Amino acid sequence: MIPGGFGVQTDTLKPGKNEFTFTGYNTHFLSEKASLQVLVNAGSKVYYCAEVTAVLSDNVLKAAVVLPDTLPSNEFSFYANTDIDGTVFVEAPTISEGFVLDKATTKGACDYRVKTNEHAGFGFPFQPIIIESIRNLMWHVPMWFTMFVLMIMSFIFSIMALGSTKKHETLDVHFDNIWKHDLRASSSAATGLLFCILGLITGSVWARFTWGAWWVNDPQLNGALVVFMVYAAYFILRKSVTDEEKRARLAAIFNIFAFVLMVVLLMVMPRFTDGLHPGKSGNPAFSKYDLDSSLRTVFYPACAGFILLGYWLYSLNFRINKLESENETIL
Amino acid sequence: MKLFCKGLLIAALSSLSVAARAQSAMDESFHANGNIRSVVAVVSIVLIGIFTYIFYLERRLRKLEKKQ
Repeated sequence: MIPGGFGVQTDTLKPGKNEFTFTGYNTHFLSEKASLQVLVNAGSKVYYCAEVTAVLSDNVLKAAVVLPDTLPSNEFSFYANTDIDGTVFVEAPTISEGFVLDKATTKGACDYRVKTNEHAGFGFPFQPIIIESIRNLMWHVPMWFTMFVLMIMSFIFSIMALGSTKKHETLDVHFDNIWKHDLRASSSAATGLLFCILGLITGSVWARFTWGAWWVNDPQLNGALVVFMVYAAYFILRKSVTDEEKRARLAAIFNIFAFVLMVVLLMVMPRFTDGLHPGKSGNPAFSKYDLDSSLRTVFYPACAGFILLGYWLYSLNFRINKLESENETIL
Repeated sequence: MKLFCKGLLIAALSSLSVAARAQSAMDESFHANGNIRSVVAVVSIVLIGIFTYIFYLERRLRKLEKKQ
């Protein structure tokens, strides 16, 4: 994880000397004490140099800043520079009083040197609140991708099951075909449902840590739950029909509708409203800015791996299902 | 097989306790350790889920073997 600013503790900011505690994440305040520079920013590129009073650890330092009585803005952010970490910052909501606001003022400001962290190597960029939990991206999101692939397969098999009437003339071959396609469709939908459940649970856990609740009213979340229930209904429908050919046809038609509903609920609807999922609302053309390339190097292989795993689980499920129903017909 | 099942049960219970610990710690200090506990919880959920499914398939296969 690339270093970042974690938080700032401060009292009400007033003109004159203010003390604050700056907490970094993966930073090197102690070992890079010589090059350490702490700044306070008050909007519009005006920086006030802070004096470091104590470095408590590599991640925690205490500093004091002298602020003039006239400031360009009362929205503060806090910066810390070291040669190793580059510039880390915290945009902290702070309470201030006693300042005169003047946009053009540069009174009491000091030079700001920008540093990039050249020594970071391979790492993920720091995001407040998400922090290390960005690793969940490699587990939670592939669940949904795998579910999607399996449901697409299920959709295609359902169409094939319906279409197999015209191709074959003799009844036996036709029945054999529609039965096989139906079994393939239900097997892949079952495996897809497993990944849907895993996606829901992992998403819920991640939401508890980052959004603060097990379930939030996000269009993506509610859509995913509806999709889960629709596919659960698919299996209830299958159980309720005993005649095999009728079951195959009914299930295939239901599955086609379920798939369309899933595309609408998971791909289309979230684009129209604002949700908490990053990169979901608005224009997908800008999505390339949503994910750092260092994350992509892990994310894409993870997706490919989970999709292959999903396919393997589907094929196992299908083969067992096939054996089971063949056994039933023999007995 | 019995021994294997017992081992599996122990593994499952230990991962559950990890999740439980993650939850209690989460309430104490919300973003401590940079939320890495959520990753532990998510990874264990995914692994438990997939392995449960594989064992469910295995059980059905064993039933078929017994029939034949």
